[in-house]
Amino acid sequence: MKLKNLFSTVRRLGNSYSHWVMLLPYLLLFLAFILLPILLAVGLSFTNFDSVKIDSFMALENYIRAFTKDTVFMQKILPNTILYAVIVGPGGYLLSFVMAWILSQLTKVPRTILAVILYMPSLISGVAVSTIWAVTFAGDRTGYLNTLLIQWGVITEPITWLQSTDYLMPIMIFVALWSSMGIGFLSMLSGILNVDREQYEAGLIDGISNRVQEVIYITIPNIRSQMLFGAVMAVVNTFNTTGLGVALSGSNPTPDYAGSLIVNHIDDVGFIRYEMGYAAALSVVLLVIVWVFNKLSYKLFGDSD
Amino acid sequence: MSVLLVLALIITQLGIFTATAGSEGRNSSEGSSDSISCVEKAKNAQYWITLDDSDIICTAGSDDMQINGNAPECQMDAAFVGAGESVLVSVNVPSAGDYAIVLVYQTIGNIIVQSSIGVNAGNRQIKSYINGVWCDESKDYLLDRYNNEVTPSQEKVDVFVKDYVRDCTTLDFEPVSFTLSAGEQVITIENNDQDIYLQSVLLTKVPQIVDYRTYSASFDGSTSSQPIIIEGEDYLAKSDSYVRTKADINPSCYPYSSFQKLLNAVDYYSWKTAGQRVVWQFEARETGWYHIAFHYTQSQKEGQAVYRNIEIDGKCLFREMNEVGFDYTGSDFANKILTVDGQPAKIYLAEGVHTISLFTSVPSVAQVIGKINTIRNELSEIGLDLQQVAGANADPNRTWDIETYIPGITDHLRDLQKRLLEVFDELSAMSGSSAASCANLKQAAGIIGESLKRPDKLPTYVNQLSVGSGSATDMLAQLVNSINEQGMSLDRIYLYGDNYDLPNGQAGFWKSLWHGIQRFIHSLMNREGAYGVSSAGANEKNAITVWVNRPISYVETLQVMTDSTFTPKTGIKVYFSVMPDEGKLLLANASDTCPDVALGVTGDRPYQLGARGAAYDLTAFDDFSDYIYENFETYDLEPFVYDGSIYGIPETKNFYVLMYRTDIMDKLELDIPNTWEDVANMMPVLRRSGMTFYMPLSSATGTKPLATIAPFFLQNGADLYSKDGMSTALNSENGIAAFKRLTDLYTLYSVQNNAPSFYNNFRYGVMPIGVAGFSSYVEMIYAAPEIAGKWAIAPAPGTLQPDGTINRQQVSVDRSDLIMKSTTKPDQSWEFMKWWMSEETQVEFAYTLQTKYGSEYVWNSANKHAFNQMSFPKSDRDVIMEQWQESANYRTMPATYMLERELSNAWYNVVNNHISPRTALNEAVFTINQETAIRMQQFGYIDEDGNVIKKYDMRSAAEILEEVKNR
Repeated sequence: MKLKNLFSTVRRLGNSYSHWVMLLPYLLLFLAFILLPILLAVGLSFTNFDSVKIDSFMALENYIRAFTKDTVFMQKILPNTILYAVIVGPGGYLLSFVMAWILSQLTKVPRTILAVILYMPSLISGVAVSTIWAVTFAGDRTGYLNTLLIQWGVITEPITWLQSTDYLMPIMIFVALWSSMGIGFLSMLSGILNVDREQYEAGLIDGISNRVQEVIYITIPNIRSQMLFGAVMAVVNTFNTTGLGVALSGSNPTPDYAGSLIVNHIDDVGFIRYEMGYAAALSVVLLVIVWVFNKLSYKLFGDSD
Repeated sequence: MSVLLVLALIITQLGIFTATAGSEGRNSSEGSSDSISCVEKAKNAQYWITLDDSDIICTAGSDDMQINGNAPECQMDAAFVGAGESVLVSVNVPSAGDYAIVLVYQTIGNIIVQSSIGVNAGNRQIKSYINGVWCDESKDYLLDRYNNEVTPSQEKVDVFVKDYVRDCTTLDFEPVSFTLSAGEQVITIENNDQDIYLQSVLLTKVPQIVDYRTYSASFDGSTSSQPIIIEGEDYLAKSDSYVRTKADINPSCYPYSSFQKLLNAVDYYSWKTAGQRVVWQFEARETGWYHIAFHYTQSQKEGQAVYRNIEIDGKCLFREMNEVGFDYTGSDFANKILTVDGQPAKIYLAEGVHTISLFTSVPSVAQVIGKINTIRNELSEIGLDLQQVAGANADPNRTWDIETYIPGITDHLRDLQKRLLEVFDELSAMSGSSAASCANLKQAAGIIGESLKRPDKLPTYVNQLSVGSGSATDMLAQLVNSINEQGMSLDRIYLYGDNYDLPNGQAGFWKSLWHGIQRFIHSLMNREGAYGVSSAGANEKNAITVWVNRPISYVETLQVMTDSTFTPKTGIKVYFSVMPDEGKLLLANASDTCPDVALGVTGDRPYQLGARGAAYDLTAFDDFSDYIYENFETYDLEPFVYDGSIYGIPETKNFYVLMYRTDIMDKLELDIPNTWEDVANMMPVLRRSGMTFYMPLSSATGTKPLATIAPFFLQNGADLYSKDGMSTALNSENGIAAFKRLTDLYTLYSVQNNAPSFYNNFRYGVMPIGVAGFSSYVEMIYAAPEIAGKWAIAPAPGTLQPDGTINRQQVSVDRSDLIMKSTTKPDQSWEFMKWWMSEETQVEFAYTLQTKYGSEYVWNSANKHAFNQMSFPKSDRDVIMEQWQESANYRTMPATYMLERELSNAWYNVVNNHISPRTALNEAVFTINQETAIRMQQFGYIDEDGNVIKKYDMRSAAEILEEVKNR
């Protein structure tokens, strides 16, 4: 009788808590590698930790400094980041969608080949930046672009593209767009391919007369979730881009901060100026910005129900 | 899962068992058991060349020598010939004819630079190497703390070397034959680089070598039944200190273990130039005939062979032992059996001790190389002529009547093209197949052909012909360099009879697989990342942990040196780790796993850590100032000063000199500039020929390092900071003038503002002159053989002072050493640091590095006495020392990084965006002062309203040292 009782207790407990057991591995990892660091960063952002010692509690002073005293942050970094994000985020996103749609119109073999080709840049971009683009935009006569322009008589003296305050940002945007056909693109492609063909036929009967209407009334509503995923990835990626400007120009900060984004600035403040507390505050600001844009993506593409 | 793990354990245990059982482990009874040291052995042995008495025509001893008209100083019957001196030797030639000259000499001192002498006799002038005799200190290899064998230190053997005069400028390393007429003749010997004792000069017959058939007919007997196996790493002596052994990870090598690195072969990377001779000693137990086979790998030259001459007892026995080709093997090892006409050749050995030596000499290839070099030189001459006509970037739409500018140029080019194709045929016939690299010749010929299609547009072809990468001259230079490389690794030499089964050259599939599995499992269970950062010494009472920001080869050498010298002397154990990223220091500080000492950190690290209380104040040690006065220049400590304390000591020191191409400067008739005004004045001439001046500033991408801009301020007497340190003084009148001088070079005189590689541009002749640092200088000496002898150095340009002198100051800060604040063993750490930066250790370290790894491993010690002893070519040495006197350093301040950054931004603004220097500098000053205020407030020097609470200590390192001394 008692034994039976015990069994039922165990079963009852098992029934009500088993999902926790299942969740445990993920929870532990999430706690250790995501939640804890974020909490630590938030905690540090209220101090003046200089990577050696913590002198005093600063309350919100770090945040106030970011928006009132840090001229570089407000004049250069934030505008750079927003410009970059506004063009590369939606731009890359649109490009991904258009490319995915065009590819979906092809037959299987060329589609697969082209998909791989388009996807490739996002995989190799780290290496490619230093090999392909640094050579293309090299600042002496041997750089590809300089050589071509000199040959065509457009310029007479080589332009130092990657150290120039005028050209660095456009080049960064160009390279980012080139490598933007990433995982979001793949998910949209699979989404489009999985749309039920019968819907298009039904649409045709219902009076759809061209491809644009097909895309707007059938394709997009069908792949909402993939588009949401793509949008989230695009937002997160653009704000978290670190290496591009630094890899292209050769140093952090980039010349006159022309290509410095917020993550570069955090790096600069934390590891070059030893102001970990302030760097932590800036990363919290970054976290908030990314969060806001994610909310926006959900508003646009999330399920309304 | 657990089954796998158990299996893995069993396999590894088995593996360790077999390894210790020693089927392929080192056979300890060989070599190490006898008590004679390697040096003694090398001294006693007969090597290099042997001469029969009948070969010697006449001998001139020290009595027959004259230096500057006087009889030379003698010691051990030998004349002392200092570097730079020349000796006249009179010899009595009995009859006119061709003779070879043999020198008997000994090098003095341990200079590692490849030294040469010029020999002038009869009709010829020859540049010949003089070698020391080197050997391993011991064949009982030391083990590092991972049980791997460590490359042994090198010892120079003080014996007289007897060797022919050989031409060292080519691959033809045969004895040079001099044509002498009868009677009293004078041979002039110019000693270029190194002091030597010259004992005698012998005149001998030019060696005549019989062919195999004649040789084999001259002895009787059967093949030996006692095979002889000589291990590659067991060499007796060699001509260069840095021909070294390596541990090749390949199961077909002997000895080999999957669990530790055993030195088993002569390293191809160190044994690749003509004339590097390695000698092995062996004992034949039986008189008779022996086959010879070599277990080797040659992975560098696909489709081409590398060559070695084989000599037994200092003599070539038959012609086929010369120019033995070792084919490409890929990454595998293979056996090469010496053959004549496809049949294995045999040599006859009497019972007893013999030597076998290998070196490279390929007269046939040398001839081809000579031809290519002549063509290349003519082509670059043509290129320079063309550049003088229309610059390097001629207008493509213009035409020239080129023959009126440079008469005969088209015929000359046509001739060059023809000769190139001839050389191509010759070379491909030689290597059997047309090796891929020979294609360079065809391409170069193709480029010339292309340019000849439009002779009226020849000046536009300069880039393809002679300037830049991929040009015809560059391709030829690359080809020559690749042919000149004669590297091969040698694991074993076999001498054996007919009924001996030669072991396979390659390990079998199963054996390789087995070793692969063992290695893989071993890598999981062991720390394969040797010298990874650890705090190994933390728990030991008398041990310290040292992190070093240098490659593993440096750290390994350091560990061995410490273990053999420092630890026995002081009883302090030292654990070294490689620290590839200095950021680790910060992280370790946060997690309290700091090392005691950090070596090789960047120049501003001690300050940054010191100001935040993470570095140890070195002035706390009683003998600090005495130690510094004794070993360093006080200004070198300037970057480490904060608040009256000094947080680091310099480890290495940079220098900047002016490097220039003598051939091009002569052609353009330019003088060597002394001041920046001179540089500005020569720019128009350079630009007209499409060339430009190089500044270290130009090659820095992104932020321009302060060390490249600061010299202008230093030379102009402009301070970087105000007297109280609370602001910057960049925009003082002197400062603005200095900055303007710098930017004018770019904006008015078109110095190229982006120059990614001085090394390449200097070789191509695009930047025939420029200010270059230590690393560029070393690169040019050791990695640019095609322009050897065509360039020189001079002190860096400076600024003319009101009193007429020239201030050539350059910044010298490089790497530094520090002790961490968290250390519990400061005294031991300081003891170690004192030992490490002492003159003795530094000289020894520099020497060990170069002897072990090659002369390109130059160690630019910051110890002033050690720097003095660096091995540079004699002529450069004086210039470098002169420039060294002019080194200076700026102090680090709380916001120096911002000063560097804003100066760099100001430079960009002036050069790229055409803002006036004054405006740009003023903008920079504003930002720098702002940042300085933030830092000063953080460090507690000013309060929130900007009032000074505490004075910033602006005393210089010299003043602080003085104060510490009197404390």
